Amino acid sequence: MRVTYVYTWGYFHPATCGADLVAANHLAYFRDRGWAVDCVLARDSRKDGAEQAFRAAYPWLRSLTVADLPPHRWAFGDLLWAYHRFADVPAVRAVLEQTGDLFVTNYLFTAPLLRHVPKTARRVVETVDVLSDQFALAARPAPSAVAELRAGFLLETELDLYRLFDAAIMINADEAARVRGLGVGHARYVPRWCPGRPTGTRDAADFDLLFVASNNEINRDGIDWFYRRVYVPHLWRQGVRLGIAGGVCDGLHYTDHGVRLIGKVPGSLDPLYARSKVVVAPIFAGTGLSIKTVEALAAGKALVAAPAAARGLDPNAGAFLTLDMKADPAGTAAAIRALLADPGRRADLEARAAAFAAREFGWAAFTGGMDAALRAA
Amino acid sequence: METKLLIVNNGLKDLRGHYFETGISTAAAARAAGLRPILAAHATCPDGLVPPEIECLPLCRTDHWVAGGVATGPDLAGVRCRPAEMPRTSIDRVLDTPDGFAEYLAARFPTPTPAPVAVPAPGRPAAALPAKPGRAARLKRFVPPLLWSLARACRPRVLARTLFRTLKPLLPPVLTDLVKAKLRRPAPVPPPAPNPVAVVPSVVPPAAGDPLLTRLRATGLEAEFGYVRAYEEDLEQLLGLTGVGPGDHVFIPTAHGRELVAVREIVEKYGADRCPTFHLEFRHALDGDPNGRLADLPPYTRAHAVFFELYRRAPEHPSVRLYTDTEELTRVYGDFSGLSFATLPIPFRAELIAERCRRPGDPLCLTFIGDVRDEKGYPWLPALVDALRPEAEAGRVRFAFQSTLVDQHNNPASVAALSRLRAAGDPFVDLVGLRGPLHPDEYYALVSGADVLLCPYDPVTYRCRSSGTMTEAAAAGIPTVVPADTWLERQQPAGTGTRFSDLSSFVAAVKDVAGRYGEYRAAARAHRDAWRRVHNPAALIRALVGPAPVEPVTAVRPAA
Repeated sequence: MRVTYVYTWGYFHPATCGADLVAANHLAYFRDRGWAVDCVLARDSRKDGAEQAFRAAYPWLRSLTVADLPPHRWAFGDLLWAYHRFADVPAVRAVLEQTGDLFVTNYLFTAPLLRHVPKTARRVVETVDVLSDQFALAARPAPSAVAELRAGFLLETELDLYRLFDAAIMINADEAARVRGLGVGHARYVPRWCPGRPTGTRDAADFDLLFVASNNEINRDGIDWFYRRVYVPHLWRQGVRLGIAGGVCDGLHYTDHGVRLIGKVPGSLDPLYARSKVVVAPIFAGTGLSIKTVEALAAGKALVAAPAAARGLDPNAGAFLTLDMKADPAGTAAAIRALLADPGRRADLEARAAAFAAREFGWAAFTGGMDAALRAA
Repeated sequence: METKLLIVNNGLKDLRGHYFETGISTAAAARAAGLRPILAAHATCPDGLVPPEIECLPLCRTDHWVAGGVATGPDLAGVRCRPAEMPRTSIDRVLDTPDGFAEYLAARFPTPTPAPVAVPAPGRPAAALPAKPGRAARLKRFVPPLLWSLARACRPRVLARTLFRTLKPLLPPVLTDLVKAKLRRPAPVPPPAPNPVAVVPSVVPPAAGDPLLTRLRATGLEAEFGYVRAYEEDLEQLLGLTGVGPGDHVFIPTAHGRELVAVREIVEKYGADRCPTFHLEFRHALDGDPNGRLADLPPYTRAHAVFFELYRRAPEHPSVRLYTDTEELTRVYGDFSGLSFATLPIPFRAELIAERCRRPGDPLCLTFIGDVRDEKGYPWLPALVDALRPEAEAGRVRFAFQSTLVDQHNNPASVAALSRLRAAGDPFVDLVGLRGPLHPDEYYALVSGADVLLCPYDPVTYRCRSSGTMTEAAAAGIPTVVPADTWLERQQPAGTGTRFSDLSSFVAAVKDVAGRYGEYRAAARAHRDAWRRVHNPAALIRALVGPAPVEPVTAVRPAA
């Protein structure tokens, strides 16, 4: 089997965000099947330094093509136009035209690349997010009727574009069902693979609370709200220690002695999880799946999440705590304090989290989903 | 599928009378008639102003008087929506032709201009800094400002000032005073009063060689170009977003010539078979001597001479229908433009006017309704109060004056009159709406409480123009006092009021109505139902979506 694989954010190893991890899942799947992969990356200048590590991680790729994406803004139309031009970059076009059996791409806004993909190839898109929701989130507030119209228009375009593919893979079961309900019959939920293992918690943990996230607005807004409305008024005086890790630290500037900005963590996050008692996910918007939530569960951590951070996960599984944080900041803090004060309850949650992650986001669940999606394509 | 009526009311920004009332009443009547009304308002129209049951899209960036220039529209997330029925590649065929995908995208999103710095994307790390510019780029960046500064320094005045400062210690004081006086800048000339049509610069860059721009430039209306294009873009966006197309209707209740030109461009661009029917209603008087030189006409009339001429570049289009709201205006506009106009009923919500229950012995309420504007005769009101002071002090009459000041700059006499009324503080004078436009409930309470409606309007301005307040008074059976030789007088049913020609006859007319109120009131009530049958929102909707109005009889050129 010959696969052309397209990824939109440059070298995805070492992973710096959830989308990188999803791409790593795909390559692991292709490698496991022994398929030949021609990989096309849109250059991300921030990751240029990762080239060697990437090549070292994926020496088995049949070819690797990295090209610049034309400048663009973060808007659906701009991205579609950018990939329309990207498709005509000679090196990219050559790879696309030689696509063999399977074309797999990440994010729907790469759809214009299909212009040069032979019609004999099966075409699969990993959507990652419901894009129209994502772009509506990024837009400025507008009167309700206007917001409704623009969201409807973007969704209509998104549904149009799904039809160009033979399969649309989604990492959130609810969103897959919603898109299927809107007429995209080939939309299918495929759980991502989260190859973590329970880390346990050291007796002398460094952090009572841990938040891990990449540097984007939703994450920054979320942790900043949590810091100002939950941590400062209700947890700081109690001496709760909050650790924040990942690219999100680039946009934060706290000097609070109870808060430690850890920054990006090279390599595995397991040691960091092991040094933390409870993981929090104060995320209040987003689509797709919150990878940070799944990672925490796979690491077997006691997790306290806002409903948006647990999107796509079974809220009745008992594997984590879901709290409407914004509705009740004081209650959220009280629940966190209670959890910190009760090692037995934490241990119970940790065991449930690990079991849930192994069942829902294990290798078997992922490959089974991929097999089914590609069979149907 | 239900027929849509898109009401484009780009003056709708607040609760101010005409724009708000026509928009709401027309939308309600459209819904009652089984249509789907969509109200397009100005971009600054606040969320919640329009009742929630009416779909309201504040997307218009220009308003009728182009006040404040072209506004910033709401964020449409980069969407450039075009009319639904325009030729566009179906998604099923985008991969069949080399340009299919580009056509598909172009119908939905503008071709992007490169962003100088990428905006951080949700779900993505922050954007990297732009690369350091090369030498050529650096030169390009620094040389023009440097040249500009040098050129500025070489200007005679700047040069002289520099020289003077250098030599000053060597010169005697008398000489330095003389030089200072020479160099002193002349006092700034106060800016001229704003011209409502053409002074605000366009924000849409004109395209060279555009025939519209060429014609507008030749007549000194170049600034209008941006407004025409902005309106055209907004209208296209509205048509696209709402899916208003063939079989649907677009109603522009207070139209301007620039909007007519924009509509024509859209119809020509997409073809009549892909467009809805457009209805444009012109409500403002074309003042000035129609036989005079174009340059001597008032700005509004001059602009319309040009816009109508631009519209006449092609024969009249069946899917573009033109109206006014008075027979008089219909004749004037028809003669002036050469185009076919029909007359529409005036919409308002008569059901909101409560029956007046005046107890015997209560003072008569003499009411003025409308904005505080010179053309509406507000400056006469203090004199009227003075003249009727004895009756007022005796408890026979009282006054209720809507006193909403919306444009101080252009209504100095009204501002003075309002100050006088406020200073007098007479207990029998109620100044309503001082804090801003009235909420509909307050407005209709004012109308419902009126015994006599005073319309001291300027007879020239209102020679052909309609009056919404006069319409409401007639529908409520309220006697009126109106200017002679105007539309108001011609509409005033016999015996339902009086007329005047100047201030003294206005005062006399009011006294007459007050003195014989019972007779006038009875006559006004007798004519009330007949009036309501003609002027109501349902009749307006029937006129719009019914068959095309009969073409007026035009002169037939005799055979050669």
